Amino acid sequence: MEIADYLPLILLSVMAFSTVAVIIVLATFFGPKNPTKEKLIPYESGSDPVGEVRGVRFSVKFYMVAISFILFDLETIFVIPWAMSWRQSASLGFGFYSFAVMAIFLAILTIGLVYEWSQGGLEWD
Amino acid sequence: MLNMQLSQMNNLAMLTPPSAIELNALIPGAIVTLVAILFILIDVFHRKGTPRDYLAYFSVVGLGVAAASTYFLWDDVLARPVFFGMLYFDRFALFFAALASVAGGLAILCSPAFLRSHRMDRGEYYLLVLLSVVGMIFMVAAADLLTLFVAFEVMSIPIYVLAGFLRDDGRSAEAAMKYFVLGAFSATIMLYGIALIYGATGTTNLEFIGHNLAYLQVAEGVHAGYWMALVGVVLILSGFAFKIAAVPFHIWAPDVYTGSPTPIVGFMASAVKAIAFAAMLRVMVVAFSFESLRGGFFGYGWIDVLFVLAGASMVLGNLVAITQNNVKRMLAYSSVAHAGYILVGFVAANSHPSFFLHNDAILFYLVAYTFGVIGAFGVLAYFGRRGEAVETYEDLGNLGFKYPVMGLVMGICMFSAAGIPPTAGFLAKLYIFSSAVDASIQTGEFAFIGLVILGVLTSVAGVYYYLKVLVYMYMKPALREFRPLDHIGPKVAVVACAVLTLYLGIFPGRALELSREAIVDFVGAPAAVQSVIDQANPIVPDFAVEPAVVAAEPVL
Repeated sequence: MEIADYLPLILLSVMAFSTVAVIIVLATFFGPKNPTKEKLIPYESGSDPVGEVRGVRFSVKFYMVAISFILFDLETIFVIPWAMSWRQSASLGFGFYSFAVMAIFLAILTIGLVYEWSQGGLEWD
Repeated sequence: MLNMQLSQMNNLAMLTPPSAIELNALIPGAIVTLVAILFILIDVFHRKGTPRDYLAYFSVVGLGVAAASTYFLWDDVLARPVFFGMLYFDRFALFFAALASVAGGLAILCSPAFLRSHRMDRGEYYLLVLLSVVGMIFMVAAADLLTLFVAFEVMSIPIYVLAGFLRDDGRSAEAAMKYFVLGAFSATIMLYGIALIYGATGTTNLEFIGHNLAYLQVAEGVHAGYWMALVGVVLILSGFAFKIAAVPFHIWAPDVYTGSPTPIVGFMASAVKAIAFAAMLRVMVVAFSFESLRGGFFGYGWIDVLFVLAGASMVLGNLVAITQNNVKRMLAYSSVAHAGYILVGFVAANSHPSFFLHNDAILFYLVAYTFGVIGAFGVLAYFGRRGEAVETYEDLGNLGFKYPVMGLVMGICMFSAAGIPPTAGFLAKLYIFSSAVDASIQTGEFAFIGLVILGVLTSVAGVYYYLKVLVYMYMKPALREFRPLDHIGPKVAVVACAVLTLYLGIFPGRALELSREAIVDFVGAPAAVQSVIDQANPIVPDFAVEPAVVAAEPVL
């Protein structure tokens, strides 16, 4: 390893740091500023940054929704590449095989959905 | 070049089906998966308020079918990786698939009455055990670090949930939290190791890693990637060491074993440990047996690391177990000690390729240990009624005479754990230690004999606390009354464990033969190990002459 081998890395770091620095400096000088109390707290998503943690209780339903979301999100991640390459597979003569594999995957997910539904995971109240 | 072939293989894998004979590799795992899916569907229509015993029996039957399927697949194994280098389908994998299924089935049998008494009779419990077994089956079969890691997580996550299954119980929640945080941490460390190995060798396939490591040592010195690979090996080892509860990574074991539902502790202590050992054996032999990774204090490379872990586990596990008053905590430390004994065999058998066949002692030990430990925890689960569970030695007073069968079973399991004939534990220890002595004599390395001496001395210390259980069960008065959970499940399970422990101790022939067959049919080993295997197995079996199936030619 020569120092020269690191040159692209150094260049990249310089570029990254300078871009960020320039943006921050420009925003400090030219950006409009009309701060309100809500705008000045660290998190703008509505949660209180300072205070008692134990008093704040979240409903477990949020987690249920988040997990269901991840599940179907992942399903999309698997289905889209499959849909993109299915034609290629079909041209090799394995169209039905590729279809069946995805059908099995979706069937298993559907059983999971049935389970979630029956356990009341989809009801909000 | 190799990587190019590999990536072409992976491209084809997305588009073409594997050949029909390769699908056999999925059968044990697929049976358990199918049982789990059917289980969900049945559980959805379960009438509320009625016992779920039939679901437990259904899972046990499913796991039994999976274990039986390995018997029918025993001669259909393939001498090459299947699914485009993702899984191995060899007797080694089938052996541990059967062991995991049997351990899962026995643990489930101990559970129904235990769960009902804790007001937690939920179907998810059995479902999680089934899913964990699926992960175990694929973990041993993994031929790629990614398959290994996914299976590792499929195995671990249900166990984290099961550890906290008694959610009204503070200790169970504590156990789950500790196990989850430390387990997730160790899995991350392992994943980091996998990433470093991938960075150093450019592949996650075990055989290609072994092959590519050779290129990291160039003529004028060592390639920078070599050190990266070394760090990766150590990180992967620590991930495994956590699961087997070897000493610096054992901190979680006592608290988790005390808090978790008792039948699950039996499963955790036996199957998880056995599978982690099996996967460690596969990864270390296939990917990291390259000579230049050897070196270090005794000159055996990562074997030195395991050498230290083995010694520390035996000493600390046994000595701390003596001071325990809680039986489950004592068994937790004893499981640390057993990890140490098994590591002695592991160190000896893998210190040089020519000792590879000594690994069958590890397989036999794991089988013997599995039945012994599930039997012991099964007895504790039998006396595990909510609010009046047997926990300390004093609680065991006079139980041996009041419940003769349970006393006998506990006695056999404790004798087996202590390594006293005629139980399986004695023979298992004998084989482990004699393989280490063999290795020591042939290499002239005193260190292995030193480890054996340490092992024998510490197991003498172990006899004290194992027999203490029996002293209390038979020679001390009862201080409290215990109502056992009168259910057929745990009775059948613990009696089966005791009978098998005795059977393996008196007629070990068949089990030893099976473990020898499993270790001789170990696919993916590097050339040095493979030649040792071939010498032991001179008759070319049918499956080896079958022509390799070539992926279909692309039609343009």
